[in-house]
Amino acid sequence: MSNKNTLLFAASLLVATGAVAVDYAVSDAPAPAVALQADSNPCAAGVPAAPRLPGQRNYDDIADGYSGGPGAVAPAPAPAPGAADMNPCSAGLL
Amino acid sequence: MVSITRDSRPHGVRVDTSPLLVVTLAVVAGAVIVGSVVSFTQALLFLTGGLLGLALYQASFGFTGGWKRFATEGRGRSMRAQFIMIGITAIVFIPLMGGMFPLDRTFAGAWAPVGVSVVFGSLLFGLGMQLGGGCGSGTLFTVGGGSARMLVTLAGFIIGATVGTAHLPFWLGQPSLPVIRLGEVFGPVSGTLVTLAGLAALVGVLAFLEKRRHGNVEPVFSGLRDLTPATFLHGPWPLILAALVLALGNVLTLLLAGHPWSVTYGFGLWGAKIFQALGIGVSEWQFWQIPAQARALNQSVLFDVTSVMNFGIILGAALAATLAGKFAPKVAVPLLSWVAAIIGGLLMGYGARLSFGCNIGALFSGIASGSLHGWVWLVMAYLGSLAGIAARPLFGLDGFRKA
Repeated sequence: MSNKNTLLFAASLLVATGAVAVDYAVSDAPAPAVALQADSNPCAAGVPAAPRLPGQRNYDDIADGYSGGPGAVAPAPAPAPGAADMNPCSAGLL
Repeated sequence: MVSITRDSRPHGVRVDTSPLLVVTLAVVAGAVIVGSVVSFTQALLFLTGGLLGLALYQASFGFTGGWKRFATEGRGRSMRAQFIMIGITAIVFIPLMGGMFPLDRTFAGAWAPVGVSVVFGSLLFGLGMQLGGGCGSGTLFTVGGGSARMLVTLAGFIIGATVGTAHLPFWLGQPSLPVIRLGEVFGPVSGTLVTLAGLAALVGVLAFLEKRRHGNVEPVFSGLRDLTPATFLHGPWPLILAALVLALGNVLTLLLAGHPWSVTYGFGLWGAKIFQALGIGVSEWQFWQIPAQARALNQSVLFDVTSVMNFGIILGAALAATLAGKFAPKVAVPLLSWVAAIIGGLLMGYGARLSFGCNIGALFSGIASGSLHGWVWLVMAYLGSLAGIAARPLFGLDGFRKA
């Protein structure tokens, strides 16, 4: 084992580690998927759906097809909230 | 440096204890940090890289040396092992990418168009890999083994790959066929069979030529019977064992990351970040304005799968080298050899960017994904490699004749 080459490797490892740490400190954090939607809807129910690939099924469309038929029962409207417990994310307000 | 010897080690291997401790600590710390900063999956990809680096080092599984040995000595054992590895991987890749299995996700292959860019880039890559002394994976695992010369090749590789991103739009504007996927043209099953038939034909031709020249064929499976727990830990591994582990590693990469193993994209990204730190407006280059590339440039490299796997490969190889007692070998490197290292690195980096990857991303993952560009890459890189072997004596290195 060459001590010179070992030191060179150790120095390179240290420099690389430092560079990765600096890169991490100055880089953008990846935006969480839910936060992306928050600009338009503060009350998002979940992670926005990823864009569909060609040929991929859309289960929302399939569900709509089944629930929109004549046999489907419309849900009862939610009761109006009282002024004191106003919740901007409750159903019916947005 | 502290070294210890134990009788269980093959041929009295002296483990390089101090570097072993440092590297082990780096692997554990790396996995914990990547896992906490990014995700558990990313940590697994880092460890997969470590496994790949370990296998590459323990079997000295390099494309460069294998191709050179066939070109100069007519021995094709290493090349045959490479094609067997690609075939094993293709059996999983092409059906999986063709949607044959009812999985709730899609997998992207190493697919690319076949054009002037691939032809020219792979030719340059082949030339560079013989001057640089290692291909994409070879550079990483020899750097991990503590080779100072290959550190210079890596530096050239990074610069070349970054410059390649600046010129890529021009090269992509040259004549080209579209992406041709064998799994799509023939269907997943037939596409796999066509790929396997092509690889089997190559293995057969290599064996035939070897037999004709030497009167015998070196077996690919040699060394398996001598494999013991001690040789597994300290090496050397039989080529075929490394081939199997590398195939497994590529499949794991596909399952974890959603795309196959690649190496050189990370080099371009590192270079772009270094260029940017030096005040060069990389973000204004067309390549880095593509949304996915811009995102990669603005995020930490820890979020980039290729970079994290490359870190793992280097550390895995370092671990293997310390276990083998061969870490940071003493090698006298003449001045011209340093020059060859930097030129080879530059050519490989630039060529890899133009040809959509190196021996891993374009050749291994490309052919295993059923992409025609992988086959074109193989032919052109081999031709470039022959030119590289012929050019090696200019730098004091052995070429077609031993120096």
